[in-house]
Amino acid sequence: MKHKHHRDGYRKNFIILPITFFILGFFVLYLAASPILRPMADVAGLLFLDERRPVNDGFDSIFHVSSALPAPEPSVDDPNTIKASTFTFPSYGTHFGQISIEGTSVDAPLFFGDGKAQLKQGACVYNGSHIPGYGKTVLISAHNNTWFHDLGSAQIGSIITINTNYGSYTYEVTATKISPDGSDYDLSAQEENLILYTCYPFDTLGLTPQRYFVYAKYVSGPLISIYE
Amino acid sequence: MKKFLSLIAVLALVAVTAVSAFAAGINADEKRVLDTIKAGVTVGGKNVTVPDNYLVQAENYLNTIDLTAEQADQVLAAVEEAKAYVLANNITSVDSMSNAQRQAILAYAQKAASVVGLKVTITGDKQVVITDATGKIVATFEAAIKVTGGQADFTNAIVIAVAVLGVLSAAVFATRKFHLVKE
Repeated sequence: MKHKHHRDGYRKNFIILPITFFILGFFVLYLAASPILRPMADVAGLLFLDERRPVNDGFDSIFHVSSALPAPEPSVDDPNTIKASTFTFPSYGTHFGQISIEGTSVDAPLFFGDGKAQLKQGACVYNGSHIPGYGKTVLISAHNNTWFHDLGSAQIGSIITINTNYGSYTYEVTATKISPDGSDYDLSAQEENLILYTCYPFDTLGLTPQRYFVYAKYVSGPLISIYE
Repeated sequence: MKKFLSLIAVLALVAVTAVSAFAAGINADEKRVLDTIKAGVTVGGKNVTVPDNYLVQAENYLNTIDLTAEQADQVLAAVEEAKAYVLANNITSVDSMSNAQRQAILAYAQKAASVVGLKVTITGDKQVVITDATGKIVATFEAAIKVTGGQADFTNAIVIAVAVLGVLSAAVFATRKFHLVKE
């Protein structure tokens, strides 16, 4: 009987109570200590977490094969533009380029369409905006804990490079902004421009209404003549 | 009403397309269709237009196909039918639509989509998605700004949880093994 009491006491004091308090306290501590614990998790990731899935794993890609195709033809009226009919326009969900930002670690595959599946694979162009070279707004998003984790390092004047299956483009950062509700964007501009965004803060755990925006003006790259 | 008008417009666009392989560019017939949709419809003296992002999706899709003149005429006919329905029922907003009217609009959409094997799907979170026969998305009507935070990824939390549990287990074992606590 005495032994049974000892066993019950042992089970309560050393197993049930510790685990219960652990579960109750874990999430509070994790949220508070996340900036400190993240490097530890990254080390663990090197050991046994899954690697990022390779691009083209289940997705169509027209980027890697583009070098084997003829280059788009220049427009008859303007040699600095290209005929739309001479290259493949990306359809929804297609990998069609690569985006990188000077002075940051941002270097991500670029997809057309920003569904959940595409956002896991790289940076994504909102399909209600335009592709680079269209002469209007290009709105690109990516997750803050992966592809756009270092978006905050982009400075005014930094060069953003987007290589696509039909040409290479550069943009210069003109402004950055923390938006309290994610509404600080305008898709109605009638000139080529680029807007990048991701959830903010960058290390946040859980839903947040805030977004971090990076705005950039067009510098170079072939504009598209959509009626040719 | 805007959302369903644009839905009809996009569906009409895709319903009559024999999809050729990704021929970029807007031809004269496609431009004719886009210009007509941009003009909108006047209901009760008020001109209602399709939201810009819906138009852009339609334009982006047209950049991947080649619409013939005949197909453009069929698309425009479908758009006019949708407009006529809205006018006949004096529909001025989605909120004012009855369930029967919503079903009627959806039926227009399903009928148009099925011509070329396209499907209109209402997802669990009430988003309208248009897919082809393989299930690949052709157009969506989601908000422009997406959730791009790390809330869906609990991998790090799981790793740390396992590590802490391991430490706890070791503490329990050591306590018992070395009689660190008087029972």
